[in-house]
Amino acid sequence: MVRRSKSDIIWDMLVAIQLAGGSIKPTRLLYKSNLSYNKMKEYLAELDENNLVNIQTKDERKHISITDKGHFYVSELRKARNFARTVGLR
Amino acid sequence: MHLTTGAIFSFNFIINILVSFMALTVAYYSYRAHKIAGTYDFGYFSLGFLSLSTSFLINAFSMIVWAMNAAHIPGTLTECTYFASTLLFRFFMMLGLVLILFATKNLFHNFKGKLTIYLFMLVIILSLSSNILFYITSVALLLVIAEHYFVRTLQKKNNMSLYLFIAMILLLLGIIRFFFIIPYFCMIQPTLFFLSFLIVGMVVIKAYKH
Repeated sequence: MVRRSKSDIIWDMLVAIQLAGGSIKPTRLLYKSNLSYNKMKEYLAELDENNLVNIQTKDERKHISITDKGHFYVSELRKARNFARTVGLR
Repeated sequence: MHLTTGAIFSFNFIINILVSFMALTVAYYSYRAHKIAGTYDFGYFSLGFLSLSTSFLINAFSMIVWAMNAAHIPGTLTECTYFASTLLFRFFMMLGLVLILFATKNLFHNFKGKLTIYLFMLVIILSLSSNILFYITSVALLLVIAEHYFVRTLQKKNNMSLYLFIAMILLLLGIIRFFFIIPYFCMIQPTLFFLSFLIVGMVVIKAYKH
């Protein structure tokens, strides 16, 4: 099995949020991104720091939503992944 | 049709500048992908094309120097400049091809890859020492890169890989031409280089903007 790169993991997380309609619960994201709890926390903190996601607490429940900057990043990352596939870099 | 030396050199100069510009475009798009994804392979791919772009720019410069009559007189400054630019052309060409090969084959990731890097560095030094060794090494590198795209074409049934395979074959033919130097075909090599980089440039732009 090929080891996922950091950008692959971020891609999986952001796309999972997008596919869930822009907002997702942490447990669902954990399952969708196929990460350990600690790793997911680490990546979420980084995404939040870069304003790619927004972590909100509603009724003592956490919700992770993708920001506009996150949507833009996904579209740019999609181009880069398409580029990599075309030129044979993966 | 009789072609003057001046016309041949002017044609080669323009084509080399165009090829350099196209290689720079590919390097730019690869760098953009590197900035977004943060993957080193994009970076090496970008550096590879930047190196090729530099080599063609130097080649264009050497065309100007060669067009001067004094270039043929040993010991003159123009002769030395021509010699230096030819050496730099070979170095950047070889470096670019090695970087592209390593990026496409994912060789930077493992220890085995590092050993191969040292081996290829040795090849670069050797290729700079002899003209024929440079062309043999370039042909070998291009064959491996072309094989990579040929395998991808078969595996992925991807038209883009097929175009890149054709582009690498054209580049290869352009270099092979050097083994059979015929004055009347002086314009074939730059034309093949031009067609090759035109295909690569179009594929890369299409892939990025798609």
